[in-house]
Amino acid sequence: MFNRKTGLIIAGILIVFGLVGALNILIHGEHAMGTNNKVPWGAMIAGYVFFVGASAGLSIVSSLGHVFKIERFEVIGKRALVGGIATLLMGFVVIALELGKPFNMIYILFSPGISSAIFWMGALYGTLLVLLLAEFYFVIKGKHAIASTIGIFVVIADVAAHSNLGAVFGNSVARSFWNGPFIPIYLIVLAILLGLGVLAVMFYIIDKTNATKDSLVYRNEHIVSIIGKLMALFIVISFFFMFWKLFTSTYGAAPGQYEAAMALLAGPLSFNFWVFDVLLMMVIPFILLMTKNGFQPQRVFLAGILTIIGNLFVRIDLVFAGEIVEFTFLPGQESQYLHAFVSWSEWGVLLGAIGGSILIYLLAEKYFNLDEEHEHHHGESKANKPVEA
Amino acid sequence: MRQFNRRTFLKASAAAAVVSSVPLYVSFNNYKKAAEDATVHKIPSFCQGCTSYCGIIAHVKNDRLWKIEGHPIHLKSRGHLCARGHGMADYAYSKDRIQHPWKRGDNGEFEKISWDQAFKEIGEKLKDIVKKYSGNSVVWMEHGSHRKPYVDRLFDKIGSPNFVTQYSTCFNSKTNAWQQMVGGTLSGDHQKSKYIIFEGRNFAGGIVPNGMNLITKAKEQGTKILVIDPRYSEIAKIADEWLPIRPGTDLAFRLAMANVLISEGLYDKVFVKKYVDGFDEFWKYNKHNTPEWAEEITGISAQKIREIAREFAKNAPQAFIEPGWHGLHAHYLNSTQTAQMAIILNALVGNFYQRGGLMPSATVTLGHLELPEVFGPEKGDRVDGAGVDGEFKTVEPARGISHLIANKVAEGKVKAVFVCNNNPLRTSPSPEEQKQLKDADLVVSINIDWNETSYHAAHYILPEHYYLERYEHPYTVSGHITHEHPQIALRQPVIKPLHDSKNIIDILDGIAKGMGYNDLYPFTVEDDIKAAIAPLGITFEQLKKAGTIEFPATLKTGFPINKGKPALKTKSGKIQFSAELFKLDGKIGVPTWIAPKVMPDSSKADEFRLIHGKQPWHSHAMTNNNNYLMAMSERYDGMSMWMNTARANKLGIKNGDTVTMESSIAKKEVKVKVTELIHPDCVWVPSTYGGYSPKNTTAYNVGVNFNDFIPVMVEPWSGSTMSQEVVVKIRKGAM
Amino acid sequence: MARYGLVIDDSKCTGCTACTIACQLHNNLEPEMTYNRLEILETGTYPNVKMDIMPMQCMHCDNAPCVSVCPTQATYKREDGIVAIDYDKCIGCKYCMTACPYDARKLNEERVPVKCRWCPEYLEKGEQPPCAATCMNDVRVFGDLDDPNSKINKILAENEVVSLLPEKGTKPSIFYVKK
Ligand SMILES: Nc1nc2c(c(=O)[nH]1)N[C@H]1C(S)=C(S)[C@@H](COP(=O)(O)OP(=O)(O)OC[C@H]3O[C@@H](n4cnc5c(=O)[nH]c(N)nc54)[C@H](O)[C@@H]3O)O[C@H]1N2
Ligand SMILES: Nc1nc2c(c(=O)[nH]1)N[C@H]1C(S)=C(S)[C@@H](COP(=O)(O)OP(=O)(O)OC[C@H]3O[C@@H](n4cnc5c(=O)[nH]c(N)nc54)[C@H](O)[C@@H]3O)O[C@H]1N2
Ligand code: SF4
Ligand code: SF4
Ligand code: SF4
Ligand code: SF4
Ligand code: SF4
Ligand SMILES: [Mo]
Repeated sequence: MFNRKTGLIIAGILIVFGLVGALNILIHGEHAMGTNNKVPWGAMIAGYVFFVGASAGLSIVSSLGHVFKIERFEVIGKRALVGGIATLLMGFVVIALELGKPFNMIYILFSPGISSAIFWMGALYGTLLVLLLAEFYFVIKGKHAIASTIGIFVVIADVAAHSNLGAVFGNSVARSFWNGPFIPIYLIVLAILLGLGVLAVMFYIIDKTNATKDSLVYRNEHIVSIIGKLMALFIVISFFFMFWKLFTSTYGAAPGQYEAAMALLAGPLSFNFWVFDVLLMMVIPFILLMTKNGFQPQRVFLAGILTIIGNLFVRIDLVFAGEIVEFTFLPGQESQYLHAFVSWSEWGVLLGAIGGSILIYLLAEKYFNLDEEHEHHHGESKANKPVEA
Repeated sequence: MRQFNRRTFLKASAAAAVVSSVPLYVSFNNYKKAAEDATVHKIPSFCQGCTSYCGIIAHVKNDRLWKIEGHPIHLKSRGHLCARGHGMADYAYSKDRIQHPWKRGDNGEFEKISWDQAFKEIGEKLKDIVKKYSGNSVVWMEHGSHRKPYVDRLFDKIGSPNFVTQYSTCFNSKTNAWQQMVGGTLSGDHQKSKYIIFEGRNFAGGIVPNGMNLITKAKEQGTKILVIDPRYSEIAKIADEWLPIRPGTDLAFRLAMANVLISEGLYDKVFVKKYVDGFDEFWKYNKHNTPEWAEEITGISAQKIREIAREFAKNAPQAFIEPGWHGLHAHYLNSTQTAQMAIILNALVGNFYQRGGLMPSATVTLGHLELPEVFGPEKGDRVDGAGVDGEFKTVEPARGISHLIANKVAEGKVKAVFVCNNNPLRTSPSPEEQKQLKDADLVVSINIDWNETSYHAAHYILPEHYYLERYEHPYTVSGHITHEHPQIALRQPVIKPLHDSKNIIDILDGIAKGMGYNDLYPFTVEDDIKAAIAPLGITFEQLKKAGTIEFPATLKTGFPINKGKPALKTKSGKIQFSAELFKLDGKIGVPTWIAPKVMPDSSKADEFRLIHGKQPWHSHAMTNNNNYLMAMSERYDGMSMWMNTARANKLGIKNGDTVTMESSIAKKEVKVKVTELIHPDCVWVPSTYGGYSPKNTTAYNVGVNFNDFIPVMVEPWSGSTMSQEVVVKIRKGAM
Repeated sequence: MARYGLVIDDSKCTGCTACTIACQLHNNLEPEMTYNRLEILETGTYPNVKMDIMPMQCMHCDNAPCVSVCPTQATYKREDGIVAIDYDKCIGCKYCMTACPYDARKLNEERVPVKCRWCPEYLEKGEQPPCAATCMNDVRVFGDLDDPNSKINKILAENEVVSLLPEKGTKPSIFYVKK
């Protein structure tokens, strides 16, 4: 079904989309984006949150193996790490395109705004990238002790960086829908769900293409199935977060919150919300997983794809929901929903960044040995993995 | 791309100032720095954005106009300027300005020509026309009459009586009534008044900045402000009360007010006895016009009319009903009588020449340049019939009937037309009729941009210097507000001419020379300015530096008396309630009820009266090509037509819908603003839009204009357009 | 050191937009870019209606969210209370835009979120910036809050004033006269 070549072709096509979109944004700046003065953040910010979320999810789950020594996860360690680096780098590309004047980032060092969550975001993600690369370096070199130690810091940095990213939204007093501690926590949960989705897809394909010599079966259970169980758990957790956020928002909360929640439930974002955030990210994957033979790799793979797509939209919707309610300043003024959308250039960049992640991953596969080199299998060999129905 | 970007003028110096630290662009900080470094020259002059002619201080950097501020002394501005003033200043850099003379070729396309060619051809054609049809076939159309002394030299030479102003489209009905009844106009003394009625006058939309400032100050001191207007206008926003009146019925309201004042004995009997002529005649014809009668017509309750009349009398003489400007005074068949009633109401409470009531403007007398007299053939009757026996005898000949000229071309009576600083194709009724101007043998447009008249009617287009590029004869500052100190203001160049344009004397001189008259204009504007200020004891240098100069107060309160007798410039020296001139053809001289010419049928859901008005950030049809001001229109939904919510509901029309509007002469689409702020009987359009010159790129095809819907009509007493005597049918949906 | 404030008596505003364009030309802004704006609201039913017009611009908040969220101190608070922007430090993250509760910022062509500057070149000389000076209704009065004799303090003493969205804790330096 898949091989490296198809992978490269897919990545290539996506990257072409990305380059065209990026070029348009570089030339026309903000005009090429779906944002405006009243909806300043859009798909690029959401996309950035998506990619660094995938990165966080991947490295947190991967750390289950080599940091927390949960054996059944060890097999995914290196590849998840590579995935984490690839998606983080792509996250940076997306945010760099979103920034009006990215070269002035240098002032984050020379003139730091320490009260700013974006300053900390820069600092933390910068640190995280260094840590991830170091971990990868030592893993490849086979220095597992150091790598595991760094791994601990990676997890800390990941959680810190990603919850801080949530705080970027949460700190905004102006946008009552974002304001508060909800988003930092929610983003971590979503990141793990997303990371699981990505891993499900990755390892299903790795398995199908025999890309690894490692056994993907642990005590009779395929790694993808294990991922599937975790996915089901995190779908439930995500659901509770979403439910309570919307429930509290629709019940006499701060002005603007109710309207924002209604924008999702029944307003201009409702199609996205019900189709992508609810059905694709949660309901359908959950049904796929919980019905008979649900944790079979193929099912989990499908559920993974759907939850990845849903995860992208849920972030776009979260960003828009915070901004879509027009501010009112005169007593008695009725607020209106603003127009917010994702432009084709932004879609291009998002697809391109997916392509970029795939490309980086494939290159890593090619140039590095991503298999576990120490043999410590407990039972089954590759030959007797469960046969597909 | 805009040809003249705001930043381009800073670019040259910015580029020099930047030691390229930022690779891709010159950063805004550096622009700003360069801009700050450049020396700013501050040159006083005055605005051309509307007839308020406010004093300005122009700020010029690197030979480019940067911005303007209000002249602190000038009576109309006193430091304040309206949006249009700023916008007009920036418009100097519009790419749609006329940049050199143009000629319409045989194929209808315009070609660039030289001034020499223009003068030669225009001169020769004009000479032929005068020879063949006499000077009476030649017309000069202009906004106002500031160029008239110059034009007169040419017109005296060729024997033309036809200097026509835009006033028939503006406020002829008012000036005529005041001329006949008072001998001249007075203005309200807003700041010292205790009670002001703005009826058909929107001071915050038809703006005199300092006038509005005085009104706001008055309000802060407790002056009561009543606004009577079918539409909640900008000044209604600060009023104590807004009374929506049925449009076209103000005459009935005013007659009923007078009825209360007289029948309840509230009027100033001493004043009336001493200074009014024709009171008895007025009363004889109007006894029956009671508030109850007016309630039926106006929709304002009899009780309310009484209340207003009593309050008006109680506060008098520190109370007045605004003499007004355009609103009401070129609008209806009964406009002259409505204007007459403003005079009568004010006179009844004795507020003439009283602080807080009506006062004149202080003025000084300017000197004249001694020039050789011009001799030419005797002039005939005015071609537009203004002041002519058997035609429009009662219309002021000095103003003329602007909107009739195109029809006179069609009748073959007008052969050559000069249109200067005037745009009849857009500001006069019925564009199709106005377009007939082009059929004259010679049509010369002297305007600053590709307005409709230039584009659709002109044979030659000659660019006059922009107002920021030229000198003009000094203005004595006056009108619409009172002041004790006379002022004069100078218009002077603040930037060098950007294009191949000329000042008006040189244009007239060139045409005269083209006709073979080589010495009609042996002087410059500077000579004229010096002669004008000679008697005032100031120098040209002083005036240039100050821009506006104020002289010691000359104004006195109290009715003008000469040798113990009232000395107005009227037949009796008093206020004439009965205007002699109007007693023509069996008419009576005092106003009495005249119904509007047309009325929407209240049983028909789709019939409305179409009314219009100024928007604070646009002037006439002149600023609709200005990018800054049109951006305001976009921002605040400025192009939409207003319709009352209840009426809209009946027709199924929602806010933002496009509707089709039809009158006897036009059918157009327009976007609707559904609002509670307007009388149900009418729809209101802002008067600026509906540009139809493709070369005025910003204005082109944006919105509709009231003039699209009204045929050419002439109000019988004062010659105005009757621009609201029109009923339109409106239905939901596009055409 | 002066501490600048602005009182706005919106009951006097008649929506002429002179403040907008005077500011645009002074600051060399293109027609689409504005540093101030009007919020307009009609209420009531014919003929008992009312219109509110409220001029708005950057509030130069004492506790400015846009300052605290700026990662590079490109937006900073001057000693005199003015919230200023150093364009050359701005990364264009638009965080200040999402953080501002007053919609005070707009993105310019260089992708810097700009806003009303309070024109210190005027305030420092004790003069009114163009938006205030041009206004025929004297709706705006800028001045030094630390100077007991300033006109602004006189107005503040004589009138009840409110600031917008006090619940956001931003402590705006613009005070609206309550009428
Ligand atoms: N912004 C701006 N200011 C200007 C000008 C401009 O073009 N734009 N032009 C200048 C010039 S030349 C002039 S003449 C003046 C004009 O100044 P105004 O006369 O004040 O202006 P208008 O808007 O023509 O009319 C005033 C009001 O009359 C109302 N009105 C219409 N029909 C009726 C009616 O039947 N009854 C009553 N009671 N009211 C009615 C309109 O709704 C409008 O609000 O403005 C001067 N200043
Ligand atoms: N559509 C419409 N018609 C109206 C009105 C309206 O508001 N809208 N208002 C009515 C009233 S009150 C009036 S007073 C009249 C005014 O009617 P017009 O006198 O026709 O006045 P504007 O449209 O103001 O300007 C006419 C032209 O003057 C030119 N111009 C501007 N500055 C200069 C200059 O310095 N020199 C020269 N040579 N030309 C210049 C411009 O090209 C502009 O097109 O219109 C009346 N009719
Ligand atoms: S009112 Fe406005 S447009 Fe008219 S002269 Fe004054 S500043 Fe210019
Ligand atoms: S200039 Fe003054 S009156 Fe005009 S819109 Fe601005 S604040 Fe209001
Ligand atoms: S109004 Fe907005 S932009 Fe201005 S200081 Fe306050 S938060 Fe910052
Ligand atoms: S966009 Fe610029 S000014 Fe605004 S927060 Fe980001 S760096 Fe600071
Ligand atoms: S203070 Fe300056 S920048 Fe701010 S609105 Fe006024 S003129 Fe514009
Ligand atoms: Mo006029």
